[in-house]
Amino acid sequence: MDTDTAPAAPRRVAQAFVALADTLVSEFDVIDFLQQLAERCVELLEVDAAGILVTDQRGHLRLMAASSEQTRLLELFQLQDEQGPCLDCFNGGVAVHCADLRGEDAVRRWPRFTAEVGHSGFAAVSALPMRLRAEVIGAMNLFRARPGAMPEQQIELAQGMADVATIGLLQERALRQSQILTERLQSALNSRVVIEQAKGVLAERHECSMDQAFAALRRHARDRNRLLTELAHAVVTRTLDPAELDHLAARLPGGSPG
Amino acid sequence: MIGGDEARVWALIAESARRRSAVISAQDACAACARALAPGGVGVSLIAGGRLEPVHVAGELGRELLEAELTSGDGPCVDAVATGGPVLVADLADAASGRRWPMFTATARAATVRAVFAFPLVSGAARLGVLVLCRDRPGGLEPGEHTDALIFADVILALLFNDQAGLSGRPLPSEALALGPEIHQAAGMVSVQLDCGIEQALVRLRAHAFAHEVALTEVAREVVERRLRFTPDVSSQG
Repeated sequence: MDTDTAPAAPRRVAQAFVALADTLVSEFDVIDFLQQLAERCVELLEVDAAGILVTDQRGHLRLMAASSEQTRLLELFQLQDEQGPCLDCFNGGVAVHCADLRGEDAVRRWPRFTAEVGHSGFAAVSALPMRLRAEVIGAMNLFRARPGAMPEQQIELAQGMADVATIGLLQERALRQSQILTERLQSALNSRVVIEQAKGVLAERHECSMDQAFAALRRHARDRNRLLTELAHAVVTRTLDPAELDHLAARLPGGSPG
Repeated sequence: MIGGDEARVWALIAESARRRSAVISAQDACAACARALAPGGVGVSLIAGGRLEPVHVAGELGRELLEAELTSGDGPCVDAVATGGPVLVADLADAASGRRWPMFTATARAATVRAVFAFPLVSGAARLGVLVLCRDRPGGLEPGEHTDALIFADVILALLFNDQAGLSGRPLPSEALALGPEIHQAAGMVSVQLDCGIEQALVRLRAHAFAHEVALTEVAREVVERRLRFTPDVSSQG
């Protein structure tokens, strides 16, 4: 493994982009894509957590995908709807970096956010804008356990990942009409809601945690070559084939439902 | 947390109810939406027996549009509900619309509808219906209008859930428009506990919150943390 200051090996970067591009051109599920991208960010950028937040177009930032389903982490992303580097990044349309979340500047700028971060053990953060032309649709949030500035090369790569996330989400490089932006964003937001509902169904049925449920959903979708959101929808509406449900359940710690 | 836009839209709806000297209902949201965004052309259809049935209308154009959808059986409203995302058509004269919904486009254009904006009333896999705006001139919605339309849809959805929970006329919970993922995870869990659909689960959570005078987000958290279970014979055990 490279040292903390060495950039990700070019080959690994290339492999990551090829894999993401592959997702884009084949059968595409936007939530699964963003999930994979968040996980790649952690790998390539040598950060400890990544989250992708987008605007719901009515005044709130919503978490679309995160590198880990740990509740504490998710809350840390979500509370930035009200205050934090992510919100500042989204409002200003430019990258926001903080090399030391325990420092005076950070505490003064984001008192509530820094108080929460204190519990989580993260010491530094970067937020990169997700933008297409003049339109900022969200922000990519990267947390690091150690304080210190993000190296310039990694910042460039991080912005590249944020750009890929934007294009993946909107599927359009030239947004001629804001109608398409709204259609795609809102559809993706609703897909995320379906997934949360499916997590609840599985967690209750199989007495597992939400992140175990989510991991099982993703694995099953991948193995059965099904779109993640479609699978989640079938789970929630109870239209999933019983044999398939058993297969899904087999991946969970609880095993078959009682 | 209620944002400035949400507060503004809510005030418009409340004003509409005040004029009728009535409690706030989806009809008021329709009327306020028409005044703000699409004079003469707003409608709300709800899913009933697998079809979209018009329930509220503001304006002649709205009525004609909903009838066009009913007649043709397809169109932006049907697609919006099916996909769970808005279907926004800035100009029905575009070749694309004619290809996508031949019958609907012909019928709607005959009724002088030129632009259609369908916003589904959905909450994940729960599909209740659609809010549709239409105009007799081509042209897309401005960004600010997208925001307002989405908020109107949110309010109508919340009012519909309120109605189903037997809370018609009651004020909406203050966090109704800013719910996080826990409410949906909780709904998934409750739908298994009560062996009911996801929509019903969302309704039951609201009913419980009101009955026990607890915030909806707090109820959701209790369910997700397994401190609160719903059982079929009694409404809930804490």
